[in-house]
Amino acid sequence: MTTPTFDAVPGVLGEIAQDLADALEPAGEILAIRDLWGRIRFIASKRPAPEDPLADALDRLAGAAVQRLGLRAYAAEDAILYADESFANIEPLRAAPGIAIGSPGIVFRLIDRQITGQSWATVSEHTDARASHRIAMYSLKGGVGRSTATAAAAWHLARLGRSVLVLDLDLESPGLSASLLPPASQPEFGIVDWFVEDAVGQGDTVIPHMSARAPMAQDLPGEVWVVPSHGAEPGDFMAKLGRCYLDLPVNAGMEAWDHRLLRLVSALEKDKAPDVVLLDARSGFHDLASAVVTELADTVLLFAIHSEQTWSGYRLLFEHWQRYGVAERIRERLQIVAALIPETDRDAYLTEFRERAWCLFRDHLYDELGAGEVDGFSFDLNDSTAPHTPLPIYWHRGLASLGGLASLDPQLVTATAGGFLAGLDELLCSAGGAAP
Amino acid sequence: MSTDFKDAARRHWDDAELLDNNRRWPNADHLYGFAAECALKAVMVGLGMQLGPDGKPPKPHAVHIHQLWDQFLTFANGQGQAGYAAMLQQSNPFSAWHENQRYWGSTTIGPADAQAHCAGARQALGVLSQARQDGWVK
Repeated sequence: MTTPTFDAVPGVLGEIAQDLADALEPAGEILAIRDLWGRIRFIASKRPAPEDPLADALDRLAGAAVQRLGLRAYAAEDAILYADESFANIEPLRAAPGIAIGSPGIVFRLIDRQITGQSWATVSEHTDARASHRIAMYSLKGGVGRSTATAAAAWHLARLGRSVLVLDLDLESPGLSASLLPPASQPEFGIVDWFVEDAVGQGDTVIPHMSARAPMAQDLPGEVWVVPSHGAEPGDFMAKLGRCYLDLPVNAGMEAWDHRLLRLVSALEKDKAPDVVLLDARSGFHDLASAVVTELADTVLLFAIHSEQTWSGYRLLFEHWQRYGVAERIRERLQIVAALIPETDRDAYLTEFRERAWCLFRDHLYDELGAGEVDGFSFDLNDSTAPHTPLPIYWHRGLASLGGLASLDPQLVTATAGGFLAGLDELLCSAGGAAP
Repeated sequence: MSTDFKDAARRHWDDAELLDNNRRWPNADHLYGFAAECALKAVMVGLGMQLGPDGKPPKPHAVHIHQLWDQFLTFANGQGQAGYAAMLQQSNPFSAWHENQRYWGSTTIGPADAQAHCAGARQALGVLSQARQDGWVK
């Protein structure tokens, strides 16, 4: 008996589905739970009576799993759980993103139980009516000038009279607020404080003491509020950070930590009534990044530099969205940013950058249009309004060596990030509401 | 003797329900306490607690539900486990329950006690079901 590798499991489940589809049909959709170790266990909605032919079919399913999944199977007597016998709420599992297996008709839905990374496949619908527009600043790798771009965007919007709220959600490597706010202006509390206070039901008490005005906007018509990861006195930051990703019980179920984050952002929006919220997400495939990118943001700025590492990383992400059928929901929120454009051969660099970005979007996110078709989410290589067309930020020694972002040189910002900021204005304009 | 906390949890629960439905509250209440205890111990074994040769948990955890509930909240730690503690209410619903109540008079335990401990046992069994879905407990 051999054990299939992790990625071969859907194929094996497909074979089992094919063999048993007719016999299992009365069970309806069966959840195939791939647990934390990558083993498969099934959840059927109801335990059938022993004389019911379905009971025999489920026994055969358990046997087939043992035989074909090897070390990835449970013992036959433990292979199937029944929802009607469970004391835990099965609904979150049913609602979880999954991969349909079986044809014709779905026999199994493969649901992955993960320690982290679960929510990259959950793209929220944004049905809530909000006055503010949320923009995620996201990159696969750090060090691409995301914080500087966040500061430039905040300053630019404040100059146009907008009220901007900047959240330092890079909790594992905090620091944006330290460069936007002088030590004396740091607010009393930060994001990690809200999480630990919310756990005992008093999150609201810290909300009014979590934001401070950035001095960069003091002479501008608008304002910039900064919410740091931690307060002026960080206290036991690690102990608080270690509790941020906690799901909490509410009424009959659980409130996932990312929903708590959503609640925090809504409460801060209610407190400060900003026009624009800039969410400095952490980089990479961390859960915090996925919550910001897939659930919170109305617009996601994907910071990239032209390197194989960048493109292969974004390909992984786009493929994931495709696999789980959420690409259509998220693609209209995305916009590529070309960060750290080198000082020499800029045009050639940007041309190559745009081509690579276009291939990526075309392969995974754009609709394939037939001859004569015009409707659909599809863009030509040179379409200036396309999400693959980069908003440019040029590298500049003056910007790179900037000690803090408390004050920005307007000329320098315009010279390096003018194209980026103009693109941002257009994005906000087309989104309506918060346009300058 | 072979200890099987998962199986015992289910048996105590089923029997407690039978008694509860027949208004036999004192003994229903007693069994709800054991159902909850066994459910949490089944999860603790799944999460790595070693049983002694006599089938008992190690010293600090060889206790009944009125003490075990709070211990479980402390026991669960780390990203994979903390969620289980979060499924239990913070204030121990079994604080007034005692294994010696089986020696008490019939009028000392009423339907309100049984109802509260039924709800507590349901939470503990919920943790066990969840741990099975996640694969910590077979």
